[in-house]
Amino acid sequence: MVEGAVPKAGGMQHPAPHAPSVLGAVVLTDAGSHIPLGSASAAGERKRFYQNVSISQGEGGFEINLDHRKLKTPQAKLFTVPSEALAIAVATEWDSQKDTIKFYTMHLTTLCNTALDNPTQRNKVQLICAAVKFLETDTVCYRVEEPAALAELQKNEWDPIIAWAEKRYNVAIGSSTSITGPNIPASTKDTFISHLASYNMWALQGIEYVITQLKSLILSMGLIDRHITVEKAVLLSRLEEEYQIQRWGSVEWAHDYDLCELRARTAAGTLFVHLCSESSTVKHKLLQD
Amino acid sequence: MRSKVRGLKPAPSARFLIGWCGEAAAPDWRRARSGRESHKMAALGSPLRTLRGLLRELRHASAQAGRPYRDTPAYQHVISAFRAHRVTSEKFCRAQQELHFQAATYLCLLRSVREHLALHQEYHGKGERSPEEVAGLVGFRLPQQPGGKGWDS
Repeated sequence: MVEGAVPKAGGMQHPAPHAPSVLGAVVLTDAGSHIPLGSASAAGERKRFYQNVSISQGEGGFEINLDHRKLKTPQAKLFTVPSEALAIAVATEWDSQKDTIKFYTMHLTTLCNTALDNPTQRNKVQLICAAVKFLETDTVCYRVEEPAALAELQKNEWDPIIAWAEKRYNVAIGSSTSITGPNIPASTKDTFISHLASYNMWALQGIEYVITQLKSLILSMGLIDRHITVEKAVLLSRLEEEYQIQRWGSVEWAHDYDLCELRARTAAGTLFVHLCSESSTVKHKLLQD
Repeated sequence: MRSKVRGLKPAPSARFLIGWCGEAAAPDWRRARSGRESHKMAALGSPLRTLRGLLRELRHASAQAGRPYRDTPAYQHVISAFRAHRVTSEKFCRAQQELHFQAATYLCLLRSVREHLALHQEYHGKGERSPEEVAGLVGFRLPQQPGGKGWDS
């Protein structure tokens, strides 16, 4: 409600300010009462309203407590995670917020919310299909022909990881310089589909997230199988950008910013997958050396 | 045990892990035959370094809370996990490798979140900047016209 300025004889009245709108993705209830979401900015930030973050074990798993309130997902479900280490990491994310809560830095919390709410409403089969579909446009399979230095760099850096994936999963992948990309045989896709099927739903959400960030199924599998580190995977994913940076220089507010953000998201996704799939490592023994 | 070595640098808990990192990690890296494993371990670095970096990041992360970072569940979990995997008779212990990879990944997460936030604050968090400040961001200065630009009254 805004009152119009009414000029008076002596001066002008200031119009009443807008009532603060209710913002924020997280709804917390404490015996039914809502926390007033007062002075929040529209940029996805809220003031830190809690002192202590702790973990407790409930029926469905581990829960996060902000002071005495239980954390909930954006769809108001109770926030429970299957792994204690994951709960500790999420609690650390919440605890490391200073005056304002910056949701865009809390990648593990976001991943857990996605796994709990499943906002895109995909089942396991759809997730796996989405993940394997990336193979057709996998970054490490898409090669340039010029400039020659970049083509050489791609060959030297990306061929080994493709060779690793082909050996590890006993499939044929190859690379291509054509615009349509590599021709992935159906047997290769089937192998990856059945391999991914051995992961549980939470881990799959994480895997699909990492693939979407890195734009590469092969690099993501390299991370999941602990063949390469996060820094290396991000470097390989951004190979062309790194090549251009070496030639033309780095622009901190763009290049470094994107690099840090990609590293953060990829690291969060990888950690999420490993923490959610610790019980399923036994199932993979058949495919390992 | 911890109180005895409280005053020492680096983090006291790291001292107990010297044995683990000294025996299992470094010699394994030199002796590893498989190219894949040595490449991976070389890329990961030494577990001690990862642990130190991780503890440092946790210290930064818990600067907000009043209590010291040693009381946080994250710190205690990391320390106990590294301690549990300390003693192994195997030359190459897979569980140890998995833990080290997880620790390195978590370290990467904490570090890059902190750096990303710093960059965000620096370049995107300052609201509206004046033209002079914007020019200064990329190293330019606005031209000075002593007589005014002509359209100012």
